[in-house]
Amino acid sequence: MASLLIITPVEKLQEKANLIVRSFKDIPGIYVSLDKTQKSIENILKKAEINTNNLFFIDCVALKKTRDDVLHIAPDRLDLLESAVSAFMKGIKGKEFIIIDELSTLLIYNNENKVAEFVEKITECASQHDTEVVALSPKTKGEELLNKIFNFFDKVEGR
Amino acid sequence: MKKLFLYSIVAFIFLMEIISVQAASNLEVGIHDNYKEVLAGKDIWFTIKIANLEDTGKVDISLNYWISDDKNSIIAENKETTAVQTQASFVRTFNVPINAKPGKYKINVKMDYGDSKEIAAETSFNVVEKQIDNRMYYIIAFVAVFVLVLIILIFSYKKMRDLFEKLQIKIKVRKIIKERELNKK
Repeated sequence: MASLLIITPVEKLQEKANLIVRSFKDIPGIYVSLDKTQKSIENILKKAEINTNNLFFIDCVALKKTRDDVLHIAPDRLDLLESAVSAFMKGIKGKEFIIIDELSTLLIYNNENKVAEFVEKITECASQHDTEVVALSPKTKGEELLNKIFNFFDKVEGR
Repeated sequence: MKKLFLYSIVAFIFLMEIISVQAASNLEVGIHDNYKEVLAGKDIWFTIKIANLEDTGKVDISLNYWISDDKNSIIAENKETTAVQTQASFVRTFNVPINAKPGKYKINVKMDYGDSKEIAAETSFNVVEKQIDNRMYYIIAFVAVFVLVLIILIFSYKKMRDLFEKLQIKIKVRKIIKERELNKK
Protein backbone atom coordinates (compact mmCIF):
# COMPACT_ATOMS: atom_id res chain seq x y z
CA MET A 1 0.00 0.00 0.00
CA ALA A 2 1.00 3.63 -0.56
CA SER A 3 2.47 6.05 1.90
CA LEU A 4 2.18 9.79 1.50
CA LEU A 5 3.91 12.70 3.20
CA ILE A 6 2.11 16.01 2.85
CA ILE A 7 4.09 19.18 3.58
CA THR A 8 1.81 22.16 3.75
CA PRO A 9 1.54 25.60 5.39
CA VAL A 10 0.29 25.43 8.97
CA GLU A 11 -2.99 27.20 8.18
CA LYS A 12 -3.88 24.60 5.60
CA LEU A 13 -2.99 21.54 7.64
CA GLN A 14 -6.46 20.81 8.99
CA GLU A 15 -8.01 21.39 5.60
CA LYS A 16 -5.69 18.79 4.13
CA ALA A 17 -6.45 16.39 6.96
CA ASN A 18 -10.18 16.77 6.33
CA LEU A 19 -9.68 16.06 2.66
CA ILE A 20 -7.69 12.93 3.38
CA VAL A 21 -10.27 11.54 5.80
CA ARG A 22 -13.09 12.36 3.43
CA SER A 23 -11.30 10.61 0.57
CA PHE A 24 -11.16 7.40 2.60
CA LYS A 25 -14.91 7.24 2.89
CA ASP A 26 -16.18 4.00 4.49
CA ILE A 27 -12.65 2.76 5.04
CA PRO A 28 -11.61 2.39 8.69
CA GLY A 29 -8.86 4.78 9.72
CA ILE A 30 -6.48 5.36 12.59
CA TYR A 31 -6.24 9.05 13.42
CA VAL A 32 -3.08 9.86 15.38
CA SER A 33 -3.67 13.34 16.75
CA LEU A 34 -0.52 15.06 17.93
CA ASP A 35 -1.54 18.71 18.13
CA LYS A 36 -5.25 18.62 18.98
CA THR A 37 -7.37 16.55 21.32
CA GLN A 38 -9.56 13.80 19.92
CA LYS A 39 -12.60 15.81 20.95
CA SER A 40 -11.44 18.87 18.98
CA ILE A 41 -10.60 16.81 15.92
CA GLU A 42 -13.90 15.01 15.97
CA ASN A 43 -15.80 18.28 16.26
CA ILE A 44 -13.84 19.75 13.35
CA LEU A 45 -14.52 16.69 11.21
CA LYS A 46 -18.20 16.61 12.12
CA LYS A 47 -18.48 20.29 11.30
CA ALA A 48 -17.01 19.47 7.91
CA GLU A 49 -19.68 16.79 7.63
CA ILE A 50 -17.20 13.95 7.71
CA ASN A 51 -18.33 10.66 9.18
CA THR A 52 -16.10 9.72 12.11
CA ASN A 53 -17.69 6.37 12.88
CA ASN A 54 -14.94 4.54 11.04
CA LEU A 55 -12.16 6.35 12.83
CA PHE A 56 -10.08 5.00 15.70
CA PHE A 57 -8.46 7.85 17.61
CA ILE A 58 -5.08 7.89 19.28
CA ASP A 59 -4.98 11.08 21.32
CA CYS A 60 -1.45 12.25 22.19
CA VAL A 61 -2.60 15.59 23.61
CA ALA A 62 -5.19 14.87 26.29
CA LEU A 63 -3.77 12.12 28.42
CA LYS A 64 -6.86 11.76 30.57
CA LYS A 65 -9.33 9.14 29.39
CA THR A 66 -12.30 10.72 27.62
CA ARG A 67 -13.89 7.75 25.94
CA ASP A 68 -13.48 4.02 26.17
CA ASP A 69 -12.72 3.69 22.48
CA VAL A 70 -9.99 6.37 22.45
CA LEU A 71 -6.38 5.53 23.22
CA HIS A 72 -4.38 8.13 25.12
CA ILE A 73 -0.63 7.89 24.67
CA ALA A 74 2.02 10.39 25.74
CA PRO A 75 3.88 11.88 22.73
CA ASP A 76 7.26 10.99 24.25
CA ARG A 77 6.36 7.30 24.27
CA LEU A 78 7.05 6.48 20.63
CA ASP A 79 7.43 2.84 21.54
CA LEU A 80 3.84 2.70 22.83
CA LEU A 81 2.58 4.76 19.92
CA GLU A 82 4.17 2.34 17.50
CA SER A 83 2.68 -0.60 19.42
CA ALA A 84 -0.77 0.96 19.29
CA VAL A 85 -0.61 1.74 15.57
CA SER A 86 0.70 -1.75 14.76
CA ALA A 87 -2.00 -3.33 16.92
CA PHE A 88 -4.69 -1.40 15.04
CA MET A 89 -3.19 -2.34 11.68
CA LYS A 90 -3.12 -6.00 12.62
CA GLY A 91 -6.54 -5.95 14.27
CA ILE A 92 -8.59 -4.16 11.64
CA LYS A 93 -9.75 -6.50 8.94
CA GLY A 94 -9.34 -5.48 5.33
CA LYS A 95 -8.14 -2.16 4.06
CA GLU A 96 -7.47 0.75 6.40
CA PHE A 97 -5.57 4.02 6.53
CA ILE A 98 -3.57 5.87 9.11
CA ILE A 99 -3.27 9.63 9.35
CA ILE A 100 -0.61 11.29 11.50
CA ASP A 101 -1.47 14.88 12.29
CA GLU A 102 1.04 16.57 12.58
CA LEU A 103 4.41 14.90 12.55
CA SER A 104 6.74 17.73 13.60
CA THR A 105 4.99 17.97 16.99
CA LEU A 106 6.83 14.83 17.97
CA LEU A 107 10.09 16.80 17.82
CA ILE A 108 9.04 18.71 20.94
CA TYR A 109 9.20 15.49 22.94
CA ASN A 110 11.69 13.36 21.04
CA ASN A 111 14.90 13.78 19.14
CA GLU A 112 14.94 13.67 15.35
CA ASN A 113 16.47 10.26 15.05
CA LYS A 114 13.86 8.70 17.33
CA VAL A 115 11.06 10.29 15.31
CA ALA A 116 12.63 9.19 12.04
CA GLU A 117 12.93 5.66 13.43
CA PHE A 118 9.29 5.76 14.46
CA VAL A 119 8.17 6.88 10.99
CA GLU A 120 10.27 4.18 9.38
CA LYS A 121 8.69 1.48 11.55
CA ILE A 122 5.16 2.72 10.87
CA THR A 123 5.65 2.88 7.10
CA GLU A 124 7.30 -0.53 7.13
CA CYS A 125 4.47 -2.06 9.15
CA ALA A 126 1.90 -0.40 6.89
CA SER A 127 3.55 -1.83 3.79
CA GLN A 128 3.12 -5.33 5.26
CA HIS A 129 -0.58 -4.79 5.90
CA ASP A 130 -3.32 -3.37 3.78
CA THR A 131 -2.70 0.12 5.15
CA GLU A 132 -2.21 3.52 3.59
CA VAL A 133 -0.17 5.98 5.58
CA VAL A 134 -0.63 9.72 5.36
CA ALA A 135 1.59 11.98 7.45
CA LEU A 136 1.06 15.72 7.64
CA SER A 137 3.75 18.22 8.47
CA PRO A 138 3.89 22.02 8.33
CA LYS A 139 6.32 23.57 5.89
CA THR A 140 8.21 25.67 8.41
CA LYS A 141 8.91 23.11 11.11
CA GLY A 142 11.26 20.17 11.40
CA GLU A 143 13.12 20.55 8.14
CA GLU A 144 15.94 18.31 9.32
CA LEU A 145 13.44 15.62 10.21
CA LEU A 146 11.71 15.89 6.87
CA ASN A 147 15.02 15.43 5.10
CA LYS A 148 15.50 12.22 7.03
CA ILE A 149 12.06 10.76 6.42
CA PHE A 150 11.37 11.68 2.79
CA ASN A 151 12.71 8.32 1.62
CA PHE A 152 10.36 6.32 3.81
CA PHE A 153 7.34 7.53 1.85
CA ASP A 154 6.20 6.47 -1.60
CA LYS A 155 5.09 10.00 -2.38
CA VAL A 156 5.86 13.45 -0.99
CA GLU A 157 3.57 16.40 -1.66
CA GLY A 158 4.54 20.05 -1.27
CA ARG A 159 8.29 19.51 -1.04
CA MET B 1 60.45 -5.20 80.44
CA LYS B 2 57.28 -5.69 78.49
CA LYS B 3 58.39 -9.14 77.41
CA LEU B 4 59.17 -10.06 80.99
CA PHE B 5 55.76 -8.95 82.11
CA LEU B 6 54.12 -11.00 79.38
CA TYR B 7 56.18 -14.04 80.32
CA SER B 8 55.04 -13.68 83.92
CA ILE B 9 51.36 -13.50 83.00
CA VAL B 10 51.58 -16.56 80.77
CA ALA B 11 53.55 -18.48 83.40
CA PHE B 12 50.86 -17.80 85.99
CA ILE B 13 48.11 -19.04 83.64
CA PHE B 14 50.07 -22.12 82.68
CA LEU B 15 50.77 -23.00 86.28
CA MET B 16 47.03 -22.94 87.02
CA GLU B 17 46.00 -25.32 84.20
CA ILE B 18 49.10 -27.20 83.27
CA ILE B 19 49.13 -30.61 81.63
CA SER B 20 52.49 -32.14 82.10
CA VAL B 21 54.25 -35.31 81.61
CA GLN B 22 56.08 -36.29 84.66
CA ALA B 23 59.50 -37.37 83.52
CA ALA B 24 62.01 -39.43 85.42
CA SER B 25 62.05 -37.13 88.40
CA ASN B 26 62.15 -33.45 89.24
CA LEU B 27 61.51 -32.31 85.68
CA GLU B 28 58.21 -31.55 84.09
CA VAL B 29 57.35 -29.96 80.80
CA GLY B 30 53.86 -28.85 80.11
CA ILE B 31 51.81 -27.17 77.39
CA HIS B 32 48.64 -25.23 78.11
CA ASP B 33 45.46 -26.55 76.48
CA ASN B 34 45.35 -23.48 74.22
CA TYR B 35 48.62 -24.49 72.64
CA LYS B 36 47.96 -28.18 72.25
CA GLU B 37 47.13 -27.41 68.61
CA VAL B 38 49.09 -24.74 66.81
CA LEU B 39 49.52 -23.56 63.28
CA ALA B 40 52.85 -23.77 61.49
CA GLY B 41 54.67 -20.46 61.80
CA LYS B 42 53.07 -19.65 65.13
CA ASP B 43 54.60 -19.65 68.59
CA ILE B 44 54.15 -22.45 71.05
CA TRP B 45 54.47 -21.66 74.75
CA PHE B 46 55.46 -24.28 77.30
CA THR B 47 56.66 -24.47 80.86
CA ILE B 48 59.63 -26.27 82.30
CA LYS B 49 59.25 -27.09 85.95
CA ILE B 50 62.16 -28.22 88.04
CA ALA B 51 61.53 -29.44 91.56
CA ASN B 52 63.15 -31.27 94.41
CA LEU B 53 66.70 -31.01 93.24
CA GLU B 54 68.92 -33.13 95.45
CA ASP B 55 71.36 -30.43 96.47
CA THR B 56 70.17 -27.79 98.84
CA GLY B 57 72.34 -25.04 97.48
CA LYS B 58 72.35 -23.35 94.13
CA VAL B 59 73.06 -25.74 91.32
CA ASP B 60 74.15 -24.93 87.82
CA ILE B 61 71.97 -26.67 85.29
CA SER B 62 72.07 -26.95 81.56
CA LEU B 63 68.74 -27.07 79.80
CA ASN B 64 68.38 -28.45 76.30
CA TYR B 65 64.98 -28.30 74.72
CA TRP B 66 63.89 -29.10 71.25
CA ILE B 67 60.93 -29.89 69.05
CA SER B 68 60.93 -33.21 67.25
CA ASP B 69 58.53 -34.62 64.72
CA ASP B 70 57.04 -38.11 64.62
CA LYS B 71 60.26 -39.38 63.06
CA ASN B 72 62.28 -37.84 65.90
CA SER B 73 63.84 -35.28 63.57
CA ILE B 74 64.67 -32.06 65.37
CA ILE B 75 62.97 -29.03 63.82
CA ALA B 76 63.82 -26.43 66.45
CA GLU B 77 66.29 -26.40 69.32
CA ASN B 78 67.55 -24.23 72.12
CA LYS B 79 70.02 -24.51 74.95
CA GLU B 80 70.65 -22.47 78.06
CA THR B 81 72.42 -22.67 81.41
CA THR B 82 71.19 -21.27 84.64
CA ALA B 83 71.44 -21.69 88.38
CA VAL B 84 68.60 -23.27 90.29
CA GLN B 85 68.07 -23.69 93.96
CA THR B 86 65.78 -26.62 94.83
CA GLN B 87 63.06 -25.69 92.34
CA ALA B 88 62.37 -23.40 89.45
CA SER B 89 59.85 -22.82 86.72
CA PHE B 90 60.48 -21.39 83.29
CA VAL B 91 58.19 -20.31 80.52
CA ARG B 92 59.70 -20.73 77.14
CA THR B 93 58.54 -20.41 73.57
CA PHE B 94 59.40 -21.89 70.24
CA ASN B 95 58.35 -20.62 66.87
CA VAL B 96 57.02 -23.61 65.00
CA PRO B 97 58.73 -23.54 61.59
CA ILE B 98 56.44 -22.34 58.81
CA ASN B 99 57.17 -25.47 56.80
CA ALA B 100 56.20 -27.85 59.62
CA LYS B 101 53.64 -30.31 58.26
CA PRO B 102 50.46 -31.04 60.19
CA GLY B 103 50.97 -33.87 62.66
CA LYS B 104 52.12 -34.82 66.10
CA TYR B 105 55.23 -33.20 67.55
CA LYS B 106 57.08 -33.39 70.84
CA ILE B 107 58.76 -30.84 73.04
CA ASN B 108 61.70 -32.58 74.63
CA VAL B 109 63.64 -31.21 77.56
CA LYS B 110 66.90 -32.54 78.96
CA MET B 111 68.47 -31.15 82.06
CA ASP B 112 72.12 -31.75 82.98
CA TYR B 113 73.16 -30.91 86.50
CA GLY B 114 75.65 -31.87 89.20
CA ASP B 115 78.16 -34.56 88.34
CA SER B 116 76.98 -35.88 85.00
CA LYS B 117 73.39 -36.11 86.19
CA GLU B 118 70.76 -36.01 83.55
CA ILE B 119 67.01 -36.08 83.49
CA ALA B 120 64.58 -35.65 80.64
CA ALA B 121 60.94 -34.94 80.06
CA GLU B 122 58.69 -34.53 77.07
CA THR B 123 55.23 -33.52 76.09
CA SER B 124 53.37 -33.54 72.80
CA PHE B 125 51.33 -31.15 70.72
CA ASN B 126 49.84 -31.05 67.25
CA VAL B 127 50.54 -28.83 64.30
CA VAL B 128 47.25 -28.33 62.51
CA GLU B 129 46.13 -26.91 59.21
CA LYS B 130 44.43 -23.57 59.06
CA GLN B 131 40.70 -24.12 59.11
CA ILE B 132 38.93 -22.11 56.49
CA ASP B 133 35.70 -20.77 57.84
CA ASN B 134 33.34 -21.76 55.07
CA ARG B 135 30.57 -19.75 56.59
CA MET B 136 32.29 -16.55 55.51
CA TYR B 137 32.48 -17.80 51.93
CA TYR B 138 28.79 -18.67 51.97
CA ILE B 139 27.91 -15.24 53.27
CA ILE B 140 30.06 -13.52 50.66
CA ALA B 141 28.58 -15.68 47.89
CA PHE B 142 25.05 -14.97 49.07
CA VAL B 143 25.65 -11.22 49.21
CA ALA B 144 27.26 -11.27 45.75
CA VAL B 145 24.33 -13.16 44.25
CA PHE B 146 21.87 -10.87 46.00
CA VAL B 147 23.58 -7.75 44.66
CA LEU B 148 23.73 -9.24 41.16
CA VAL B 149 20.04 -10.11 41.23
CA LEU B 150 19.24 -6.61 42.46
CA ILE B 151 21.21 -5.03 39.61
CA ILE B 152 19.51 -7.28 37.06
CA LEU B 153 16.10 -6.46 38.52
CA ILE B 154 16.76 -2.73 38.38
CA PHE B 155 17.89 -2.86 34.78
CA SER B 156 15.15 -5.19 33.71
CA TYR B 157 12.45 -3.32 35.62
CA LYS B 158 12.17 -0.67 32.91
CA LYS B 159 12.15 -3.29 30.20
CA MET B 160 9.48 -5.31 31.98
CA ARG B 161 7.44 -2.18 32.60
CA ASP B 162 7.62 -1.30 28.89
CA LEU B 163 6.63 -4.81 27.89
CA PHE B 164 3.71 -4.72 30.26
CA GLU B 165 2.53 -1.35 28.94
CA LYS B 166 2.75 -2.58 25.34
CA LEU B 167 0.72 -5.63 26.25
CA GLN B 168 -1.91 -3.44 27.87
CA ILE B 169 -2.11 -1.30 24.71
CA LYS B 170 -2.53 -4.37 22.50
CA ILE B 171 -5.29 -5.71 24.71
CA LYS B 172 -7.05 -2.35 24.71
CA VAL B 173 -6.81 -1.99 20.93
CA ARG B 174 -8.28 -5.46 20.45
CA LYS B 175 -11.12 -4.54 22.78
CA ILE B 176 -11.82 -1.27 20.94
CA ILE B 177 -11.89 -2.99 17.56
CA LYS B 178 -14.14 -5.78 18.82
CA GLU B 179 -16.61 -3.35 20.37
CA ARG B 180 -16.69 -1.27 17.22
CA GLU B 181 -17.45 -4.38 15.17
CA LEU B 182 -20.19 -5.39 17.58
CA ASN B 183 -21.72 -1.92 17.47
CA LYS B 184 -21.77 -2.04 13.69
CA LYS B 185 -23.76 -5.26 13.76
